[in-house]
Amino acid sequence: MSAAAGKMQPLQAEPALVHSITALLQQLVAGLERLKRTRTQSTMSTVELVRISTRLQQLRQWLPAGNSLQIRLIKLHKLLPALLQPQPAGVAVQLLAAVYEIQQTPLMVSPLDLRKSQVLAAPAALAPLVQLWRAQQHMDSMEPAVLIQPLLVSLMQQLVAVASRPMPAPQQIGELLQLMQAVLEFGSTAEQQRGFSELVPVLIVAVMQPHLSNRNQQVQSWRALWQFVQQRQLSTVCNAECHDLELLQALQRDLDRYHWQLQLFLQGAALKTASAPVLVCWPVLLLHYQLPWILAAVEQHSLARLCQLWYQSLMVHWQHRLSIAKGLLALLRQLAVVLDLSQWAGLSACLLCRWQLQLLQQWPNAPTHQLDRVALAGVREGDDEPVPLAGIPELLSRSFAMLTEQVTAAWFADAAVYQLHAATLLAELQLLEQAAAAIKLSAIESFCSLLLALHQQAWCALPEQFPGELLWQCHQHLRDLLDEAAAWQQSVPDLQLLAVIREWLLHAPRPLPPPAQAAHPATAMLERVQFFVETLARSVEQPLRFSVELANNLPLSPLAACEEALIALLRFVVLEQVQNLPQRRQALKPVATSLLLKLEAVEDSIAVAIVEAGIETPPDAKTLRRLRHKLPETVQRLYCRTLAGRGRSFHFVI
Amino acid sequence: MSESAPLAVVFEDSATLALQLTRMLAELGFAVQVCDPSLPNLPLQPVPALICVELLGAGSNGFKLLRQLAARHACPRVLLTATGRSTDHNWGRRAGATAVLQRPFTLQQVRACVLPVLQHGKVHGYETQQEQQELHS
Repeated sequence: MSAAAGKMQPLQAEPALVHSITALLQQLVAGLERLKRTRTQSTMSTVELVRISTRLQQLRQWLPAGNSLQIRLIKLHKLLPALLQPQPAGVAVQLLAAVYEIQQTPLMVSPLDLRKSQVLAAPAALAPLVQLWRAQQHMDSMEPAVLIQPLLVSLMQQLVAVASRPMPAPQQIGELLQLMQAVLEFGSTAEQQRGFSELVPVLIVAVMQPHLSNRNQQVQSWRALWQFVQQRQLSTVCNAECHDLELLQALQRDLDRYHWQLQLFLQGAALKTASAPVLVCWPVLLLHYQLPWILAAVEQHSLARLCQLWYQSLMVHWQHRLSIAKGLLALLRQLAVVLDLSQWAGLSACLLCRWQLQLLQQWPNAPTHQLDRVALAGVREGDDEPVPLAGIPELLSRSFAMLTEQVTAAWFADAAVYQLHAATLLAELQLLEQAAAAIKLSAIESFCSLLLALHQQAWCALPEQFPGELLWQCHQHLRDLLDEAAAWQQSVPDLQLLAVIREWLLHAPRPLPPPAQAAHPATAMLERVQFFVETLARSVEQPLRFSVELANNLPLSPLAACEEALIALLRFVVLEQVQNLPQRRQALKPVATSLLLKLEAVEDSIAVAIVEAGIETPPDAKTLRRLRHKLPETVQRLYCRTLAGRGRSFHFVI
Repeated sequence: MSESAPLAVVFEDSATLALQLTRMLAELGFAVQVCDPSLPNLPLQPVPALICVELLGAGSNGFKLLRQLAARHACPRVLLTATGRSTDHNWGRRAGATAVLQRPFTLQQVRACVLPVLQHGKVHGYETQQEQQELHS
């Protein structure tokens, strides 16, 4: 607000001014108290300095020009950078003295009638320092520019260090740039400040969006900053106006669409309760993907850079399903106002720069486990080397050529052709299921699980019952889901298709055992076990793929006890899988599990193995003992062993 | 635009970006038709010489669209992307893109991308003298 405006509304201005001065002085006294304790080493935090600096600027604007308090505030403002780095005692004392002077000054601002008792309550702590200052009055006063120069160099060095990291933190970059801007306000001309504001967006592109500028442009940006820090003259960035009527009409259509869509989103966000998360929706993300290029097409490069940063920020929110903070929503509302052709004339580079910095400072904190590594069984590249989580989208885009390109309708034309490809197809699907779980593409993961179950049934279905058409439909749908995921869109499975698959699985005819086994009592026993496991898994909503390998010559006598033991052990396994779901989710493992039951004859006994993929922690000794008590007494040598990277297996002989 | 100008079909839902690309392609000698990516119906006559597909649009997915188009049309297909991700290039080519054009692009970059693609794709009606010279230079 200008001084003239402040004079026009004195009654409204006064309470705010009193409140501001009181609050400011309290902040200053607290900060300076710390400085007093360790005067030569202490530095004020950058956040604190920026806050105080902003408050001082506000105060200056409230006061009429030439007011003695305003003059003192300006003096104090110029001294503030001294608080950012250790200073000789003399500078610190100068600063304290400036504060002390201000504390005395309100008495002289008669028209404003400040509450003296409030303002004067604080300065007692400063008295010893003021005495020190009075004793050192002969000290040479330092020009603000002398303080600013090394400070800018130091900030630039920090900025270079942060930007050189493999994943520079946007908040840190924002803070450093905002600090540079704040420091520049102390001793620079308006022209210099504008030059810096024009430089900041270019730097942000160099650091945050390196793919948008080549190496040479990035070097130029840093060189420009260095020149600026050296207080040399800067070339200004020209923001040419667009006079192309056809292009402007097209732009207006795009901006109308933008406003309509954004208003819908903001209205929806406003209706939400305080605790409800405000999530980025796809149309809003898409708008911000297009906006930078739309604006660049009409030569509005400063706005385009701001929108590019918005796209990045919203993309982080989208990828990690983070709620948009209130402050960010307010900034989004500002952006919506600015993206109006009639507003562009009044836009200054400083304002756009400030918004960019605010946006950087409100950058969402994405989960850090993105850099962790995840082991995918069957990954062909790098063999057993775990894949970094961040690299999985890249892996997805290079792998799964079979699923996306080679699978054709002919593969599912009949059961015989299908059998030729089924093994590789299943391996590919299992790998995709793991990768989808690792990058939290739950729609693809659950569809893969269902498709694997379908394949498992189809594998052993009779030729006349072979669901070839359904399998081909599923693979086409899976490809669509992968295309959506590759474009980072939300993958939404076709609910109708899911219902058809589930229906087929529910009524899928059981495979007939080979003639040699059909009459064997073990076959009937295993059918009962399988029915039990599948019913239990369905009732606890645990997706499970269950398969059996049966030897031909199983002895008959232990079969009854074996059935009892299997039911007890499988109940434990399935229920433990349900219990371990949160841990599996945390470890980015698939929700669906698979169990393989193997029965072999060992003389007069049966050797049983239950191989459980995906879970690698064996039960502790106590649990194993308890489990042992639930099994028939004829069960011998119950133990569990882990299969590195592939799961665990339970074994016993009966 | 002469009647013999080859047809380029652009799937893009932003009016500004569609106009920008239309002008670039027109300068390269194409007649351009802009289509809504959510309604991927290509003109049957004349047969397009080039198809440009934007990766992301309202209600559309460029990869999916490319697959559908690749199954029906043999002409060169260019995927336009602005995400800056290398995965777009890999997946785009696997979905049927002959070339991938990364925003921001200039006329020179469009020319550099489109000409080799056209050369490889044996375009019908690409007869502008200037372009013929460039093709052979």
